[in-house]
Amino acid sequence: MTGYLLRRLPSALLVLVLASFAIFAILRLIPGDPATTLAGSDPSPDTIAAIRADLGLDRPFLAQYFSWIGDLLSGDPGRSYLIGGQITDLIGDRFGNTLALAIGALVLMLVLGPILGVLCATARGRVPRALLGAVNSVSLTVPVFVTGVLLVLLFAVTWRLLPPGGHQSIVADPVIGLQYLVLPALCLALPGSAVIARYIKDGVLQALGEDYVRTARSLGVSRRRILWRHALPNALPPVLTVLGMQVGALLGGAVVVEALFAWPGLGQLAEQGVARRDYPVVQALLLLLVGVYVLVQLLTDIAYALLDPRVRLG
Amino acid sequence: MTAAVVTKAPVVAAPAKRARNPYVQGLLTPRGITGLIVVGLVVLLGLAAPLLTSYAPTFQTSNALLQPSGEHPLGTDEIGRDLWSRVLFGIRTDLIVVVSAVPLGALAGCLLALVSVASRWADVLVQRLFDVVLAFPGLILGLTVTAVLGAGTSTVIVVIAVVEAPAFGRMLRGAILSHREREYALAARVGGAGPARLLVRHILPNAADPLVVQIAVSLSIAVIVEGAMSFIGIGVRPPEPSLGSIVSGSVMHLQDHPIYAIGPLVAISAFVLGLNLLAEALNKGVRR
Amino acid sequence: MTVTIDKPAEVRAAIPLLAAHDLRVVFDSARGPVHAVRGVDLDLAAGEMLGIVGESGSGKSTTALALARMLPPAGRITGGSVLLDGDTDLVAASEAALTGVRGRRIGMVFQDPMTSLNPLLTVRRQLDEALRAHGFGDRGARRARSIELLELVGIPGARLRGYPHQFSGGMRQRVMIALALANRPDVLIADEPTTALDPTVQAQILELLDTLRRELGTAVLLITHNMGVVAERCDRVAVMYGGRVVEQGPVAEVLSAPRHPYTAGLLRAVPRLDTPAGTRLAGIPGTPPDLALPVLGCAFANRCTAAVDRCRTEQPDLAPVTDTARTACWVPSTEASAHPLEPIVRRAPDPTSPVLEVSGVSKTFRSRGRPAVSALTDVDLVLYPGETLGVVGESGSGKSTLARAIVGIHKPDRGVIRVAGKGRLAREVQMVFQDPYASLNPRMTVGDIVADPLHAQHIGTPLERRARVLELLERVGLDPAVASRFPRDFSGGQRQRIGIARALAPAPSVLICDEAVSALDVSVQAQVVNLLAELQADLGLALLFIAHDLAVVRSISHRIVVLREGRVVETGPADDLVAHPQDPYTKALLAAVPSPVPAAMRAAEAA
Repeated sequence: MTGYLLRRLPSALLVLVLASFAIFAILRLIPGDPATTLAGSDPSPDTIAAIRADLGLDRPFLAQYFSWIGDLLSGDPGRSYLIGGQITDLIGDRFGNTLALAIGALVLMLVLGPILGVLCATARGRVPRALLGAVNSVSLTVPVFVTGVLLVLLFAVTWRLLPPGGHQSIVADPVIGLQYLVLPALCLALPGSAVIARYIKDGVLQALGEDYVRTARSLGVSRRRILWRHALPNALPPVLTVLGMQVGALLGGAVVVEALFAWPGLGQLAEQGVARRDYPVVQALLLLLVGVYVLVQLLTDIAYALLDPRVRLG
Repeated sequence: MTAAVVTKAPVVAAPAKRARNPYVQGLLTPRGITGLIVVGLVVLLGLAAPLLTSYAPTFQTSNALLQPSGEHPLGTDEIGRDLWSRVLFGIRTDLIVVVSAVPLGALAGCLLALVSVASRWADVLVQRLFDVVLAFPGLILGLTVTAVLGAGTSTVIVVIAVVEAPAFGRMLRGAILSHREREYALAARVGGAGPARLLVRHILPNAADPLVVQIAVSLSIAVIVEGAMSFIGIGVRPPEPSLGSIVSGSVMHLQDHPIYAIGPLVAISAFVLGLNLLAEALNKGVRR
Repeated sequence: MTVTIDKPAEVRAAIPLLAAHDLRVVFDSARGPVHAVRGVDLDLAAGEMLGIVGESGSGKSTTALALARMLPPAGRITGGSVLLDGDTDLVAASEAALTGVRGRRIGMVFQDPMTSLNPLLTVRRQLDEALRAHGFGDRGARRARSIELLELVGIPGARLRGYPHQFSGGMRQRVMIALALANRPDVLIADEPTTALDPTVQAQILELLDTLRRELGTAVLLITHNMGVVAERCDRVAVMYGGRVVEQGPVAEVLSAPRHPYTAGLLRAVPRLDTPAGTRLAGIPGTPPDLALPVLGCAFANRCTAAVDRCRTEQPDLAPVTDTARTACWVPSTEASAHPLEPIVRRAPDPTSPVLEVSGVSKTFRSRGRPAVSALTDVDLVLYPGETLGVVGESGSGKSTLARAIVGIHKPDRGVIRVAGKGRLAREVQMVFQDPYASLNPRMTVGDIVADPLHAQHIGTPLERRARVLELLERVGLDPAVASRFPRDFSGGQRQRIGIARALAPAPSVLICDEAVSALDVSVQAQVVNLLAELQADLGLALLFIAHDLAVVRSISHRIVVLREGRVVETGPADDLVAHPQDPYTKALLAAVPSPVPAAMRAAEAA
């Protein structure tokens, strides 16, 4: 296990370093002097010069990069020019909001996905199978902003059960907060749930055709037990990998869902930052999101190793 | 002697089975045919857009938020533009983006894959490059690229190409590496085939199957990415119509004018579902 | 539903433990229904070992699975009965009743030990589950029994906590046997239990099965394609062909005096270790029937030299030919047919200057995170023009690495490989591969495949190449008209012929056959070995014949090299090496080869 970690960790770090470098370098490619953009309309040359010095734009490229990383590691991503304020403050609240949304979606995904997957794998009869398959295909392919609008049309406009958008803190009032959370989280969770369901279904069906399942049958092990003890556990490791990837999709989807439901999270901030070209904000945010994603993938790899003795014990 | 006669006697092969192209075989299933019809219909609507409507997609009539009528089959939007014509031209925009972006991404990915199987050093570089691209969740990458290039149709095309390239690259690289070790490829090497002949004559024809499936998958992902980017306002620039931005416009009016959202929602869903049916059908055909 | 028929006690005693009657199985396939088993009658008495022998496609494995209703989803039993204890019809039994029978009354061991155990569960958990399924005691009792079972099959109890991937193939098969025997079943169905294993391990597993059968009194149904295994281990044998049993009886009787022409042909085709080098193997002409098509009359009729008109129109049923043996043939032979040994016409090798010289070759494979594997260590060998050099070894002996090093796929770390003649290596040395299904490019026509080396090496004009392809196809026994077909239209043996034609295309002086006949059924294997021998004699090729089957190697080779763990342990003239092995490993290899001649008959021959 330790050996596995030692092999896996450096590559995750390398990706993170390369990604941070890419983020930093790419944003330098923005046409025009960023200081001019950041200084707002009709700036004085002094303002521009001050911003240039403040951003360190007058220093060599690599020096800029290392001082940026150094600041980040010491917990100071700098300040925003166009939106205003310290980036840590900007990110602070919204990070919590996005986290609530993401965790809500993840929980739904982990509940809906496996249920749908096991149902798909065990359904008998043409009609139930076709129906479940259709549900799965639709949630898998229809984009988040389409399902989002449909959910709002149904739950908020037609039935008036849930608010069509906006945000209330869960901590302050869990009941109201949850009401606001349900639709965006569900909408964000659907595609991932369908992906998980499909992997579980395919994995279970494949495992049911494996020789070791035949062995278990030949020993008189019951169908139920074969499904839960043999087929499902063997279907899970690939599901873990795909779950890690779904967290990435979740982060991306959050941008859309936050826009659709007026949810004040990181996605909104990123969108504003990009629209206004407030690149200290964009840099910090991108690195944060990528960092979270790389971490999640590392965690899923570790979980994979824990599930599969062939990886764990080599 | 009987045995000697036996080995000399010509052995005739079993009667030839109908050798049909696996793609055709996959497409000629209920799933494949449904997919073909749905996608065909959407594409046709997009291509024939100018013939099917008398309004330009950006033309503002004096009537905002009209209910559907013979004049405006889907009603009008908040500034009086005909929604039927906006949806049709939105499909058209989508087609342009998707049809130029996916081949671009596929080409880039495949070229990188070829470079990476050719040399060990290039392989390390290319794999790291893919790792980094994949470390950005799809839309986040969209935001990053938009931050550099600015919003617009060409940015969407670049984003989609960049998102898709690693999928094609990894797939082709994996297929080449696995086929390269199979006995038929070794046999070709023993027969004296050089690297170029080995790749072009032997490996690529066998390694291409998953790529064809991936093209269908990528097309549907491209439709989604384009829609999502336009939806959050970093895609196709208004007033140019795009399905994503029409949905985005409808969000403000879901309460008072829900019919606004129907057209673009149906068009996107049909397009994406149809492409996905095609991908599944092709996949079944290839695996058979 | 369990069908119970009351019978008086004295009748019960004579009732077989397991009896199949007119068992029929159909598989759904893309080409329509395949009638894999077409009316099989079998019976197994308590404590006996019955062998079911046949080639691929004979329906023997399907029969084995159908007996316990273990068919995969595509297959279904369409008729007949399987009576357990003479009264419980398993074909009609409920799924719940079957779950009680499987593992408790009937245990099974399968072919591939690498995939038959759950990779995520420890051996302890899998044994525990098997015991629990039939309500064996509490946790502690099950644990004690698990240790007992492991030790019974020769594995230290301490390895209970291991995962399957930590065991070797042979060890896994022992675990599989422990699982199957966990609840002391009365019947053990073993489906090719040793086919995936090396010869020496194979012998150990068979010995274990035999010992356990005697100790526990378990009746064993042993499905195998190996006549030698039947001869050495079984009491009775049923020979299957085309989805039916064609002959059944005591092993000594059936193998020494086969009544069915197929049994006789199969026995002739089996290479025997005790026949001198250079003996022609007797193949059975033609290919087995396609069971997706209706079979009229006897399925073997079109390959049978004794067939009469009736054989083609009317299907024979199993009928008694002696007190103990039955055969399904309209024209059964009445006496033991001795078959004369026929030598291959061979050229003497020319030992003046070697055509291939391998000296001091070593090769180590390194991959990240795993210990390095020395595949070859200081290997020396020489091959003379017109000579066949057999290379024998088990898996991991480095024999394939050696072949690949010679043709230039692997670069040796040390040592020299010299090929006489000038020009490109690919003109002088060609190779025939092991897997007839993987070694032909599925996207190319047969003609293009055979011509590929000519194209690659720019030999000849298009017209000359075409002529050469047709000539080669005819030379390897194929109709030249097949040049425009794709590999998928051909059977395994035919594909190997195509592979040989491809290898011969650039007129090489050395032909390397890497397990080229291992994947083929014996009757087809004999055809291909004979073809190779003929080609060698006609063309004066030097042949490096690599295989794990010593008997085949002896029949074709002038000299034999024995490889073990990457080293040459012994070299010598084929007959000498087999008759007087020097190295203990060679002796062990020879001892592990089961002879298709029953012990009783061997004793009689020796007398």
